This record gives sequence, C-alpha cells and structure tokens, in this order.
Amino acid sequence: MSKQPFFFDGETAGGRTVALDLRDEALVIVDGETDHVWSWDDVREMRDQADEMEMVFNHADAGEARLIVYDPLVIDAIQMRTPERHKVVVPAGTARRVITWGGLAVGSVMLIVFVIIPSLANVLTNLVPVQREVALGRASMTQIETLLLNNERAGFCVAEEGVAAIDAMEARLSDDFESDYDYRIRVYNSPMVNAFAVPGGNIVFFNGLIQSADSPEQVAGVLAHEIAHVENRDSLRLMLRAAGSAGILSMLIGDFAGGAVVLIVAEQLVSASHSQKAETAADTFATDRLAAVGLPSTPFAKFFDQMHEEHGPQSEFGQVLEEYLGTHPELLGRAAAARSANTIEGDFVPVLTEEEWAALRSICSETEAVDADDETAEETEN
Amino acid sequence: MSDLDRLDQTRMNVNYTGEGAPLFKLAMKTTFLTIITVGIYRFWAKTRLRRFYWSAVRPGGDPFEYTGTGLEKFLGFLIAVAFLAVYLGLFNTILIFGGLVAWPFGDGEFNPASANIALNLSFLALLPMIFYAQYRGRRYMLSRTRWRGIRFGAEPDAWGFVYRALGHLFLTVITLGILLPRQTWYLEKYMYDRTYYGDGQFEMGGRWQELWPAMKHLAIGIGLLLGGSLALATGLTGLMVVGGIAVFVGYVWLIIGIVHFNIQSYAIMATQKKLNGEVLFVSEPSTGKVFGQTLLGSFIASTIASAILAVLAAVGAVFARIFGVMEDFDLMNPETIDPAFTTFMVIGLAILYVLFFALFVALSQVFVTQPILEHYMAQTQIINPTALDTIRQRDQDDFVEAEGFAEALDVGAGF
Repeated sequence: MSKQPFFFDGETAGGRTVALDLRDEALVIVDGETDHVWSWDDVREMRDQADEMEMVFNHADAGEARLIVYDPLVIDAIQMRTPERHKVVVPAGTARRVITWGGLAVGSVMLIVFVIIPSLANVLTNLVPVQREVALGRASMTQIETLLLNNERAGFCVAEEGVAAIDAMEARLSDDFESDYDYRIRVYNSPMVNAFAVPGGNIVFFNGLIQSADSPEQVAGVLAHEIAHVENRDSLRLMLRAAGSAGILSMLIGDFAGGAVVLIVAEQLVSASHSQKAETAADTFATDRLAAVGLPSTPFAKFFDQMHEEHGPQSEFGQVLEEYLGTHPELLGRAAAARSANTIEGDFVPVLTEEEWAALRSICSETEAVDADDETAEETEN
Repeated sequence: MSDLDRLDQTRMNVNYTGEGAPLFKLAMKTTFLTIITVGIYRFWAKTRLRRFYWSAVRPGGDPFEYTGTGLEKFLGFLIAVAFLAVYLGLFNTILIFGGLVAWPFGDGEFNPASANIALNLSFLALLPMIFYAQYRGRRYMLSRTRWRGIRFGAEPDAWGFVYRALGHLFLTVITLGILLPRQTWYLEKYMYDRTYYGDGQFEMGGRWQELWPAMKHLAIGIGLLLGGSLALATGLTGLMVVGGIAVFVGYVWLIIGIVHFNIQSYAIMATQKKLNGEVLFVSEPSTGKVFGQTLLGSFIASTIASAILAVLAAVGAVFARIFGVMEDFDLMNPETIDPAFTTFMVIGLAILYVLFFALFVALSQVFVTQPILEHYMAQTQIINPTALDTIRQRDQDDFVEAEGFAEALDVGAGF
C-alpha cells in the first residue's frame, strides 16, 4: 500500500493528505472541503527528479500548488492522460529578448575586441616613451638569447665582412630616414627560414633565410619588413591588445569540459586578425622603403612565392586554416601586393655588391655563443 | 542554547534520495550536449542538474524544488557579457599600459615582474563585480527554490554586500588572515538577515568570536609554515632538514585547515540561524568525511574515466592497424599515409578527448558532489518543525539578469 497523495496549496507550508478523482476531463484533488479541479491539459510534471518512486505535479496556472503522488499505478494513470505534462511555456517576447541581448553581447564583445581595444592600444602604444620601449626590448632580447643559445651548436654569426654587409644593407634602407631607434641586426646560425624584430631596434635573421634567398634584394625586403615592425611598435601594440582581450574570451566561453580548446582557437582567431593587419602594414612599409631607396620590390614578391612553394599549405583546408588562424597573411596575396607596389623597372643599384652578398652568405663561418648574461662573449670557430 | 530549551524539541531529519545511476545519465547527457554546442547548453545543463539535486533533498520527506530555467540563465549571461566585456577590456588594457610605463618608478630599466603585477591588479578591478555577482547569484537561486510549494527569497541589497565584503576582505588581508572568522561571520549574517522562506524571515544571532575554534587547523598549518621557514633561514643543516619537513607538512595542513574552516564555520553558523525566531537548525558535517570523499571520489572518477578511455583507445589503435594493413600504409612512415586517414584519426582523438571529459565530469558528480551533499544533509536537522506549517507564501522576485554575472565571472555556488 503506497502513501496517500500529498498536497501543498502554494499558500501555506502546511501540507495535507488528499484524495484524487481522475475524471474524464480533469484531475480533481479532494482537499477536505475544497475540490481543486485541474484540467488534464494544464497538469504539468516536474522534470529531472531524483526520486523515481514518486512524482510531483503542478498546474500550469495555479502558482506554486504541488501534488505529490507515490502510487506508481496512479502516476501511470495521470501520465496517460497528460501528454502535455512536459510542455514548457516560454513567456511572450522571449525570442526578441534573446535576440536583442544576444546581439548586444556579441556586438559589445566584437566592438571591444576588434575596435575599442585596438584603437586604445594604438593610442597607448604611442604614449610609451622610446627609452622605456628600448628597455623592454633589452629585457625580452635577454630572454630570447637564453632560449636561442640553449642550442649549443648554434650561436650568432659574426664573420666580419658578413656583419659589415648586413650593416651596409641597413644603412642603404634607412638612408633618407630618421629613426628614434639604434638598429642592431644579427644573424642566428639556424637553418630555419625566419626573421624577427624585438621592440627598440633588435632584429634577428635566421641563416636559413639568407641561404634560401636568391638575391640580396630579397633579404633587403625582409629587413625592411622587420624595420617596419620596430618603427610601428608592433610588439608593444600586440602585447597591449592581447592583454586587453585576455579575460573577455574566457568569460564568453566559460569553463565547461573542452572549453579550453575552444578558447585557444578563439584567442588564435583574435590574435591572428590583429597580427595579420600588422604584417600587411609592415609589408606596405617595406615596399615603400624599397621604392624610396631605389630598389625593386619584385625580388621581395618572388621570395614570398618561393616560401609558398616550399612551405605553403598543401591542401585547400590548409589554405583556409592559414587564412584565418595564421599569424601572417596568406603568402600569395603578400607576393601579389609586393609585386604591384614595384616602381623600379630595369636597372638599379644593387643593395649589396657581389662581394658583400657573398660575405653575407658566409656570415656564419664564424659564430659566437653568447653567454646568457650577454656581456661575456666567447668565440668559437665553426 | 536557551532558545533550544524553550522550544519544542522535535527534530526533523533531512533525507537525501538521489541515486548514482540517474544522476550519471543526466550528467553525461547534459555534459555531452554542452560540449557539442561549444558551451551554450551549459546554462540548461546546470539548471537540470540543480533540479535533480534540489529534488533529492527532502526535509521531513518533502522535496525541494528548483524552478529556474536554462533560458533565463542564458539571457542573464548575455546581459552580463554585454556589460563586462567593455569593463574588462578597458581595465586590462589600461592596467598593462600602466605596468609598462609607470613601473618601476624613475629608473630606466624595465622589470618584467611589473607587467605581471599590473595584470594581477586587473583581478582587483573585478573584485566588486565578483561580490556583486555572488550576492545576486545567491538571491536568484533562492528565488527559484521551493519547498512545500513555498518560495524562498532575499532582499535586493547587493551593493550593501559589495562594500561590506570589500571592507571585511581588506581587514582580513591587513591582519594577515586573523580576522577571517569576523569576515566570514558578518558576511553570512548580512546574507541570512535578508533571507526569507515564504513570509518567514531568517536571522543570525551569536557572536563572530564563536568561529575561533574552526580556525584551529588553519593556525597549526600557518604555525608550521612560519616555524619551518625560520628554521630554514638559520642555515644550520640539522635545523634546515626539520624546517623543510615542517614547511611541507604545514603546507598540506594549511590546505586541510582551509577546508576545515569552511566546513566547521558553516556548522557553527548553522546553529546561530533562526527562522521566524522559532525554527532552529543543526548541521554537523565532518571535515574528514568531506575531505576523504573528495580525494576518494576524484580518484574513482578519474580511474574509471581513464580505464574506459584506455579501452577505447586500444580499440581505435587496433582498428587503425587493420586499416593501415588493408590500405598498405606504413604507420611509422608518415609519407605513405593518406591524409584522409590522418583526418579520420584526428577526429577520433577529438572524440576520445570529449568523451573523457564528459565521463570525468559525470563521474565526479556521482562520486564527489552527490556523496558530499548526502553527507551534509544526513548531518542536518530542523528543530521545532511544526512552526513551519504556519508560514505563508511570498511574492515572486523577478530577475532580468538571473545569475548572469556569476556565470560570466565564474563565481557562485558549487552547484
């Protein structure tokens, strides 16, 4: 014998045992003197209940009145008559509210991440004093050197004529150009095809890039691009942007299982969008610079083509990935832009002489393993 | 305990009737839906789990009921994000700029640590929002909780809570934690004095000094840490060994001490609460039980999830091997492998990853959350329950933003 149904009227906390009358049109709850008539269409059942041995029912419009039924046969009988028992009535205007607030939420995140933070970062970047930026660059260069020079076989390339050649290249590029920064350009003995700039004027080429270049003008294009990063203070700007949008995406995504992956992809999307813009601007700066000192930008364009052939994405899927997630814009587009910016047809004064170019290519015949503390340098023949 | 003597001594037990299997099914289903909707379903998932837990808690055999909806939680979250994105974005950017420019004052050297300090400051900027979210989130949960068809509720004084919480936190920090019981007690009192069950009002009596005993293990942990550090600082080999051990033991003791304080201060404050001046409470969970269940339950959950994952991964590996032989791939030589196969394997691994998380989350509910809740309830009694029968209904509190701020800032109750 199961317990009798129990009823709370939604007005007081004192409940009582009731009798049930299951009529054709309605469920009648006989509560002492009063009959509560619940039309079958209005009877609702609580969902996700822990105890499967009993069921709590309520009336769609009767506030907080609750009927608890313990007898499985009676529960079955009620459930048979109430196909609508799990119906959820969404208040009118909910769709509009969700769309409005969803739009505002997404809009506010987009606005802050893609408009406000970038512009604020631009303004604030220009407010950082040069000496502060140079100090920041020195601090990060120390860290980078520690990382790079962990690899014992590698080191910075110091063959004298090679160093002179790269300095000559820099001198030609900034010939007519006033800069707040003292440039220090070094070549790191690694087969990777890469180059990077650190705030405040430190630029590092990887030897692989110099070896894979066909002509000194290709290296000059890359150097002009790195100078652009220094002049535009791109590292600082990206740092400010990354810091600004840091908490926002994790707030949006939450900490559900697997959220970390979504977060990484989303952050990559945002930072790719920021850094691709900076790269495009640096390319433009580079081609302008080349034109200003009487150098063609077609070799620079050809360099992108070569990079695309050797390292570009192999599939269409890879292409799409690179376009949206890559830190740099897609290579063929960069090549086309550089090509169309070319102003020099025919002869020009090469950026380096034959001898200088040969010297630059063998700059890594001597390397120097710098101690992590920088000052005490130790020379090794390679 | 004079109140106790005056009142009817009848005690009402709180039953807990949740079972493992239905909870596992519900948690697995909702976690899975959360993952495949890239997190959007989490509002509904949380709501459904709350409905389950609430309905399993039964003072005197009558179940609690949670009437919140996933939709209102989702909407509240959108509202919170719209505000917080702007607030957070501006604050963070300006703070990191400050870290770059203003530190260290004067000399030209850049100190990377100063940028980190600036980033940590952005947490301070969020503190008021976090306290606000805590109060509002609790109030929302109360307004969506029913027992015997009667609503719970709280007064809307969230900002009063925010500035008190900031003040108490400041005092606790400058006294190196000595005033933690005072902070805990006053904030709990602030919340309970504004909490209602129907037309019945809760109030909290007693004194904050009654929480001192709960600090015992916290104090021992700190004592060991300090003593150990002093011994280490002497530089004498013998003392340093002892000091090292003391620091390690002190660290573990401190963690247990924090858990102990949370649980025992809750127990002490439970006896200080009254509903309508005539219904009293006792709740005496054991620290050992809660701590042990957390460790054991997490161990069981991760072991089962890992075991299932290992079996599935082995099946996948065998399958890949057979497939590789059929298609003549040399798995050790990437160039012979069809890219379609690689894609297939990547998707397979992604599914395993998702499955592992879903399993771990669901099993943690079954082996950690539920047993601990069950223990709390088994240790809880309501004194003089017949006085509850006269309590009458209160009006529904409306919430536009639900607990959106708590959700966005990832604070709030464990459920």
